[in-house]
Amino acid sequence: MNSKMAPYLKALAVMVALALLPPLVKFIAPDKWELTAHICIKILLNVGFGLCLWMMLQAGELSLGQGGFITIGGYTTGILVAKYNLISVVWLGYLAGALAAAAIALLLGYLIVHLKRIFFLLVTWSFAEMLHPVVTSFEHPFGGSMGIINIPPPEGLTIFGETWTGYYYLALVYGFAVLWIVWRIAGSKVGLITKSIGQNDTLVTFCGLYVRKYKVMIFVLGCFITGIGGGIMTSYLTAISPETFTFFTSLDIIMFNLIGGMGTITGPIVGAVILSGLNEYLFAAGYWRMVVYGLIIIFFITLLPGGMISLPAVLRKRFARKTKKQEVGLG
Amino acid sequence: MADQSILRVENVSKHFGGLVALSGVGFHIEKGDFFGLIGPNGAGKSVMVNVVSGLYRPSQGRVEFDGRQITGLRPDRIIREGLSRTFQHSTLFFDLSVRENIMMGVRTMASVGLAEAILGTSSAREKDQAIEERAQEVIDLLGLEQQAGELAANLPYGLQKVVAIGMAIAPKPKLLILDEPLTGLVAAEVDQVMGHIASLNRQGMTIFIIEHNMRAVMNFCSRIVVLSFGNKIAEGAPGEIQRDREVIKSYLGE
Repeated sequence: MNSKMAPYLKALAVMVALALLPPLVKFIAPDKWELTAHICIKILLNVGFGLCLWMMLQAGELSLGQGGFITIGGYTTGILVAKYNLISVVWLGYLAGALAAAAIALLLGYLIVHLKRIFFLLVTWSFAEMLHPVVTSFEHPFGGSMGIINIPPPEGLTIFGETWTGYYYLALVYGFAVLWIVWRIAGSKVGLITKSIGQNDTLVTFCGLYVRKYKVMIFVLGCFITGIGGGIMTSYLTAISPETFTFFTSLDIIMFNLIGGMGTITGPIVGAVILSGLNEYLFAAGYWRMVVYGLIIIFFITLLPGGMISLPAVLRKRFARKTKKQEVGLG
Repeated sequence: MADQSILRVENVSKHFGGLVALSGVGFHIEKGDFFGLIGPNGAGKSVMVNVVSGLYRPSQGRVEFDGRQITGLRPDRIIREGLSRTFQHSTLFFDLSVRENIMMGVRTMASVGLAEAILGTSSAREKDQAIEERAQEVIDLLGLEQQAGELAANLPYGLQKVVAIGMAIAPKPKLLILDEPLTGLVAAEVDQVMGHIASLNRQGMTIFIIEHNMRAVMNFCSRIVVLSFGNKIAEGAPGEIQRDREVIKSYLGE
């Protein structure tokens, strides 16, 4: 019981520590807090996106279209709460965004989950790319190339003072809620089925399980959660346009898993923290950013396929082999 | 007049383009049988198992399992009717532990839900417990306790075959189909695997085995069907099969 609880308690401790960050930073360096909050909000939302994809990757669903589901969540929220004021409660706007993303994931997923990884990747990528001309072309309801502006923060967010402090706590809850859900699933029998599907789906079928059902389920859940994050991100930015979430958003979410490693649930978290932080600086690099990305991808795929989380083990092994060689040399 | 047949294969043909893999093959398996399907390489034995288990849809003919027509059903549906099978190759989830592999076979797995898994409801805990208990029973039955925590990939080949059988019997099937369970095994492993299979049969499980190891087939099977180039050329008890001229001709040539 104790050993089972320990990782949960560790996560809880990190969450509490992060909850104490705002008063701490505001006390030490009040002028740094807005920027810190901005970076932290992005990191925490990205952790959620990365974890969703990690869960989907377990089932062999390599999606390069998560930016599309963020877009769907964001636009739905924006359209309903800002452009037409159809929903007066922003929280319900988030929910609507998540439902829209889930509904589209259900339709798309039912058609494509049986595809092999590379084809799944191609379809999800082209699906996300399809959204761009669609939202650009229609003034109603998408606001054309200008998009949607003046998206308000959710109700009650200002109890923490500045909106960014409120958003910081919202993103914190989001990131850890996603962690909790994905973690629970990974440790459950559904997680065992998901992992098995990623290894050998034919064999899962012959265990008497309907593979498509589980794959669609995981895909829909992943996109539902991603859709909520899209709504939160959009209202934080107060606006959404066709250029807000792009191909790079989708690529980043894969990169979180590549850089951090897909072996354990810690991987996408580590990856999201590293790359979201790095992105703040890479933004200034303009189109050279792609060169950095290319190098990162090549480095991790060829030299560290297990991601950052495998680094300690890899180093230990390398070190052990070296000492062994020396021993042989001496002998 | 209770029908004793657990599996009835009627006039089944399977074509792949112009290639005729099976042509009008029919046989029955009775409850409690130790049934063998043999034949030279390329005779269509694995195709037959794939048709029965729903991986292939027959071009013609029908398959009845336990009195119910199963032709054209989805494979997972057929499995849930109470039929289990193993594969010649890639028989396990190699990156999972032996225990997890066997849990995957347990029928209760099909009823676990996403919401209850996340919330950890009492119904989820009950199902988890049922799955773990059944897996433990199978582990005890096959004597896999020592290896239960190991990754399947790290086991010797013979034990991998035993784990595959464990996975297949975990749902307590009415019919167990084994596709070449002895291929690649050394003599001691053959005895070990056949021992497990024979003991399952003694406990009442109907066995349908495809095998090239003639000694094992002739020793254990109660009834045998011989395929050659997609046709059934003989059927009977091991003694009759060994004397059959057609069978000798197909294995040894004219």
